[in-house]
Amino acid sequence: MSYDTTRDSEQLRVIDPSIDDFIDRYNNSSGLADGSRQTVFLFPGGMACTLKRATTSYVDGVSTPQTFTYHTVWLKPETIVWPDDVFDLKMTKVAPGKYRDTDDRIIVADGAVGYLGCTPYLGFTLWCEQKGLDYFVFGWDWRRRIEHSGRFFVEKFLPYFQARVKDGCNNADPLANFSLIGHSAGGMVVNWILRKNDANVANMRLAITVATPFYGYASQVHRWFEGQPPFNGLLNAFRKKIIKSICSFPACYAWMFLDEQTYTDNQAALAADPKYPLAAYPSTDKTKGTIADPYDPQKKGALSRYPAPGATGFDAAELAHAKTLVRYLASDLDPTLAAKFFNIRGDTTADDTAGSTTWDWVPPTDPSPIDDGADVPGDGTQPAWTARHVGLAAANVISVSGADVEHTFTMNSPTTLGELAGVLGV
Amino acid sequence: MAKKITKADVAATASSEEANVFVTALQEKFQRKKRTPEERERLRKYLAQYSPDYLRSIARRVLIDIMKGPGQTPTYGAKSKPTRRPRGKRAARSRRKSAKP
Repeated sequence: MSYDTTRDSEQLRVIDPSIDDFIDRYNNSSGLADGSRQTVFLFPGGMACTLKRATTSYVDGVSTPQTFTYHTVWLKPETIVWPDDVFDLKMTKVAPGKYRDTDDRIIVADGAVGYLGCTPYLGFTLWCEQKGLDYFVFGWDWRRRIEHSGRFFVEKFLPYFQARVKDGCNNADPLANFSLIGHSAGGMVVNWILRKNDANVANMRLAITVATPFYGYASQVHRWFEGQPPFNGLLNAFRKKIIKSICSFPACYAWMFLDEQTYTDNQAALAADPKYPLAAYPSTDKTKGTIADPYDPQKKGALSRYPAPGATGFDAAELAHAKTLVRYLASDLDPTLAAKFFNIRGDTTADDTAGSTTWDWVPPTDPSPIDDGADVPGDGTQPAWTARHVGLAAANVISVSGADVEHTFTMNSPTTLGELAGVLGV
Repeated sequence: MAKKITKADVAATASSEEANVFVTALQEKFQRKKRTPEERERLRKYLAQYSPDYLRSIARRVLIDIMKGPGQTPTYGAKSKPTRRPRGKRAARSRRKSAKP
């Protein structure tokens, strides 16, 4: 079995205990109030899924299946003290679109992240139990391209899940009535799955995003230069290595503010948002105020926009790929698909969400060339203007407000869950 | 019967400044220590001095700030201040004087 096939096989094997839990819950639940059954799959946000790393390396050229034991590398209390595990998340590109993990030690996802007894999805799962919803939290590897996670879910996981649940639940079909819910970047995976409309999901009732960016957000462009506190360590001792890890994650290239063409195509609709209009292109040159498209980085003599590939591993080819992806995820939707697509966006009412960035030329990369512009309404992380697709009918865009709809923990918010109940009809 | 989610369940969150102080003190305490089983146990004991509620409030803020990204959060690890005294006893102090990593 190849590295990729082994990784997929191992991913399914690691998910198995969670499917067992689903079967137990299913068999011990009477379902919704009217006795019917409804399955919801939750895709946690980027960085909000637990990642586990094999304790030994995959070996090339072995014909028999290889299985491994795993230990958690994202996220543990000790990670802020010893970020070695973040260094080990670094991926190595072996061919266009093909990656391997450090030392060929396979990394798989396993449910939602928990940190010092705190998880962003406890409220959601308890709420599902109250409502009688049959839920499954689908951990996905947020480092990998969105398409990889979407394809794995549709082609590998769903048929496997369906067969196992039928086998364990007296032939009950968990996909007879199912919906997908994606939080934050998890909603980008849901968006991709909806658009691909594979036969395996043709029966999907609803696709729901919560706090998901459709047109990017401010923070990712900072990470290329500033790393990710608190893993940078004391006095940024580990920042260079953290930046190298981040630059190796293909997914991150699709998290930046929208490309100029997408903005031009949707400028009127974005500006016409009745609650949260976007008045101007959100990424501009620090000095001149001209457009600084993250997906079309210009040069100024010897100066450029991104850190040097040699020092950081920044991958221009992955940026080009991400441009195609973000344009696809923001493109017009087939009306049939749009009808079952709902976007929930948050506004904490604090008006403290970075709504734009300015960008200086590099080098130097330290201090960071990125500055945030004016704060706008949003959930503290995602501006409200980015968290809905402009092509959806007004009834399919739901704005929630209040301090409890803060981005990371919005899936625990009674306000958000109340709106989710309305969409799901429970 | 599953527990009903209330506003109180989502309320306890440390401020970024408070989390920064906690994290920086933790990093200072263990700086230059290799990740050995003994040091991990020392870290576990160190964290156990704090109440679960307090640690959760810090954890919530750390998770929030990670998602927010570096642009919208304080620079963790930039400076050191004494952290909140743990429940019932003083936090163990680092013997290391230098803040240099």
